[in-house]
Amino acid sequence: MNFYTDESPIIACSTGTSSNTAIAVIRLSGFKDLLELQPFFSFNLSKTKKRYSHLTNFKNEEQILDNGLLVFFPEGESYTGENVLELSVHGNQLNVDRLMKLFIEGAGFRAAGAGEFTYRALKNKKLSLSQVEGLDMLLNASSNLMLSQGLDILQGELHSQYLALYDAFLKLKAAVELSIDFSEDVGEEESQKLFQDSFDRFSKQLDSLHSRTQGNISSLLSPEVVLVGQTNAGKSSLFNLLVKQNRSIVSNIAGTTRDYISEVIHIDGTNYKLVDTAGLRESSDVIENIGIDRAFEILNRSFFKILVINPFETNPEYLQKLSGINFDLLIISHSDKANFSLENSKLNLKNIVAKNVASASFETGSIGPISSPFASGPMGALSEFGPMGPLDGSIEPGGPMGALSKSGSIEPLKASAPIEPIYVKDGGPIEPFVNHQISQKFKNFTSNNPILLERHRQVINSLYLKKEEFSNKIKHVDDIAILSSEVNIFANYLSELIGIVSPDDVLNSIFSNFCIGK
Amino acid sequence: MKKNFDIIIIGGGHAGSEAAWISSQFGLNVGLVSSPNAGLVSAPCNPAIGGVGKGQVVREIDALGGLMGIVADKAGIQYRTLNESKGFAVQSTRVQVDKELYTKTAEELLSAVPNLTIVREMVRSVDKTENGFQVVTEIGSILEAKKIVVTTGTFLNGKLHTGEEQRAGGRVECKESVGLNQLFKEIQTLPNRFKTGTPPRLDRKTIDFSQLEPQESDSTTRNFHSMNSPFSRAAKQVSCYLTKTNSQTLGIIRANKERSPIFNGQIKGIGPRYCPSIEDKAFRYTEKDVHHVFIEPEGLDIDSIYPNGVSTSLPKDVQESFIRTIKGLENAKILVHGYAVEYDVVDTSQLNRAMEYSSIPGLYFAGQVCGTSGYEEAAGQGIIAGINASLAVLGREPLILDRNNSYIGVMIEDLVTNKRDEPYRLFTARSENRLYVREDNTISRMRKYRRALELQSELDEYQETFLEQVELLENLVANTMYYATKENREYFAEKNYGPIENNISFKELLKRPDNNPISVLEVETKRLGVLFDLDVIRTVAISTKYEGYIDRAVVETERINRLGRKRINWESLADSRNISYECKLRIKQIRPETFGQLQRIEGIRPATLAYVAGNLV
Repeated sequence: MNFYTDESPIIACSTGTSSNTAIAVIRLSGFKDLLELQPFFSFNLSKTKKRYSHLTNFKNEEQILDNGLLVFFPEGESYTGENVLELSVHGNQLNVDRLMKLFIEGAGFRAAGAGEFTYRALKNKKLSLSQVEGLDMLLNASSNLMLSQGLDILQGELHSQYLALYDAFLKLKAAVELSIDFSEDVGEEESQKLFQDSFDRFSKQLDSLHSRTQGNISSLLSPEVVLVGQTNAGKSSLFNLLVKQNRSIVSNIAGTTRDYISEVIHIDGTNYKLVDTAGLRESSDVIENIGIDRAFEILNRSFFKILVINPFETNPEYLQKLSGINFDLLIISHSDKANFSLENSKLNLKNIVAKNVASASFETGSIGPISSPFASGPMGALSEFGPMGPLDGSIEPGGPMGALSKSGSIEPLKASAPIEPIYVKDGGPIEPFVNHQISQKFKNFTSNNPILLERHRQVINSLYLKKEEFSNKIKHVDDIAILSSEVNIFANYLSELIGIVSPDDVLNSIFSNFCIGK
Repeated sequence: MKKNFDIIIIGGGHAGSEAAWISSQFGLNVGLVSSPNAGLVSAPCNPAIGGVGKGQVVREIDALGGLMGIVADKAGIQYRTLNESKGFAVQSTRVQVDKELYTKTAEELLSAVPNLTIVREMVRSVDKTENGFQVVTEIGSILEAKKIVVTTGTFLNGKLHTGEEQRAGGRVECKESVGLNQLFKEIQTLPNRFKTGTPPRLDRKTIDFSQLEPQESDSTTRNFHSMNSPFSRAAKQVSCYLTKTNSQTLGIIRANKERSPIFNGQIKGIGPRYCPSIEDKAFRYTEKDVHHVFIEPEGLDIDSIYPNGVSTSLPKDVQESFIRTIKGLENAKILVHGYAVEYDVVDTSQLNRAMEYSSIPGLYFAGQVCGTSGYEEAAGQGIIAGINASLAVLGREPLILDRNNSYIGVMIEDLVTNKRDEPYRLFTARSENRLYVREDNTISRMRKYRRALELQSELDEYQETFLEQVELLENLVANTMYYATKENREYFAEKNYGPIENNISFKELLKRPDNNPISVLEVETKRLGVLFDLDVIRTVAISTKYEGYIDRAVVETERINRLGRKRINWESLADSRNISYECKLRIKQIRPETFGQLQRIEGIRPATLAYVAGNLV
């Protein structure tokens, strides 16, 4: 991180500088006296009311450059804690540049560095470090989850969890210190019990935070939905269906490399990157292998995996290669074609693991149930595709998804035995069904309110490992001096999350909880 | 009388006597001014020296050439090793002393110093002169000195309370001194006064000892003074006894709340939470009626008994009735009633780590007047103030103790970096480096400080020889292997040393958690045909046992506290407009020199730390 040590006034266009817009907001911070800026405004600045909009012309000497609004936030009552002026101007980029130049050349302002307004807010204690992290998340969120966690952090929800952990730690440390410094006063038995109880409580607090750091963070921050299958299986049809319905309002995400076909789709408050691995495929066999390797890589990190199989055109070797991958959804396509049942029954899917199976026709855009292709023996007759029942009904209670939500972990499937898939019972349009599958999984993964800040995840994980180590140590080290030195190691990690643990805090905890002293 | 000194020490308690003793070792002309009615280095509260953390301080004082350990050994009548079952690093020595013998020994030692003059007069005023200070006593003596050490304890503006009775005084039967403000116009006192208290003294003849649980003196506890033979005892050894309060005791106290000066608003001073009066215990912990009371003799030839645990300022009649509810004390007669004392304390955030008042160079403070409690804390400050006053007279650099290798260093840094809101006592919890700051390695820790004094004495020879021995034994331990031979397997089995499947080093053997490193090292050095002093064996054995843990703690602390040692410019921080007003005030008071010190100031906000850290990177 860059730290800015000079305190000259700064200026920036807060609404972005990449395209022309109707309105742009220019923000100025850190100037000494509002009245010194009078030459640039037609409005009489001595009449400024704080936090009121005033209509004004912006001018350079006698030349009027633009007209718009100004709002003044005085020192101590602004975002940065300094004097702040916000100008709403016409958002043509040339206009914005010209106005900013006016203040830079005419009033000693400097173009702000990235994040500098927030840095000043931090310096002036308008925000805490955690709040800055929360703000960063809020501003760069790609899902409702991130939006709400950003806001939570900004408002201190996570911080209060940390404070609870801190409190549990203080009690643990107090129990250790009690048995060293005050053993004559408290007695051996009581101090032993206090130690064990306080360690258990600390452990529990930490475990609950730790469970919120489980899983693959990239799946949570920018979850990917991946479509795999052979050429002509119907991936692209499915891709187009999903994109058509779910296209994100903000369709351009800067920096997306389009080396395979991908599109951002928006389901239920979360942005997903939908990837069609068809983009990786070339006609030559050699290249196809590379393409498959690449597809595997994407599959491994993806959040939701969909396999599309065309029962009329299936290469058994291809299916063989997919063994060991846990698919979230298997779609057997071309269900509207004659002989579908027959071809379907010939499929050898014994290596394929999927949580959910459906048949689908991309021609009619509908999805339906299917008899188990995993079980051997003759296929049952397909029922007719009716309208879809309530979506929740399509998931059998107590199925693997239920178990999943309890564990709260992102990749627990790898460890588990092959999964008995859930079969779709009723037919209906494809898109809402798939959408529901995706958003339900995301909801389950985020039901434990995962911590998304990488720094916090790392600290909590290290703390957790130290705690486990300590827990083992208790079993065979009876030297309380050594244990106390190990407890101090926790303090170091904790202070990275919430600030310094001082001996006075520990002593305060002792004195307020125990009767000490002869 | 008119007299000139290099250094004058005002106050003859634990701090002042320690300052006088060490200053006179520098060959300077030292004056010790002390109250005419009190003995030097008396023990007006509990008759014991040492304790958890405090034992380390006594040994640190001893290693610097101080008085306390020598006197305590002469007067010790019951020795104990506290935390004996809890690991070597937290074990501490405590010695019950004969109060009369203690004072007598100290008086003899101090009176025998030729370049030390003891002046038994009350001080009326202290003034700054062109070249130093002038002290005027109540009877009109004029004493001049280049440097002054003030160790007035609880005497400044002292006020005693027993129930509704209030009187001026520094302690029972002692006159108070004038207030600090009258003594020194420029000195700031803390806005709050502090309070401390003491229990009633009981007549030994009226206690039924047959009902009490005795605690005998421990003959394996090492004497304090390093050059004394470890386990010899100068005085006869006696037992202390244990009894307990009960619901009746606490009931009487609770029924008299409105007569308690602490709770009816008569006493405004703040008492120490770690040393609560029995009233505090009664009202703060209402669910608890059973509290330990240690019955401690105050001397061999005096009948006075100190009931440790029932410090009180309740009225005399209440004291008498609650004492008699305690088992064994049913017929106890009170010789002197308990009382509380309120006194002025100096704002230690105005001192530097040499114990010198920053804005008045040459003026040093030490002891209870600095808001500490405990004889050991007072003596620890006294010796440092005395050393630094002497070094200043000699034009030499001050001696600053690091908090990483001494409890005295911890205490002084804590004192000067914070305003106190209650009396300060040392706990081992205050040290970040507890596994290292132990009693057994005091000489290793303190040698560099003692060496810096450049005093060539017998003690210095002793310490150098001791450390040579330690080094020899460390080398032996580092370079000896046990091979996995048949003989060694049998030998290990016989000694219960654990298995020996592969060759192991002597170090590993000592570190095995089930082995007592001291007895293993003792046995094995004898077997190797080398003889080492038991103190040498102890320190090498314990250091070996902890070395891995200490390294680990150092690495972990370093990882986080790399910033801690970075120097900061407090003056520019105090001017910065990015730091809140309250934080700036604290920074100006404390003047932190490093980021670590800034961190330890109470009330410094995380945002300030983030800002300073940001600008350090």
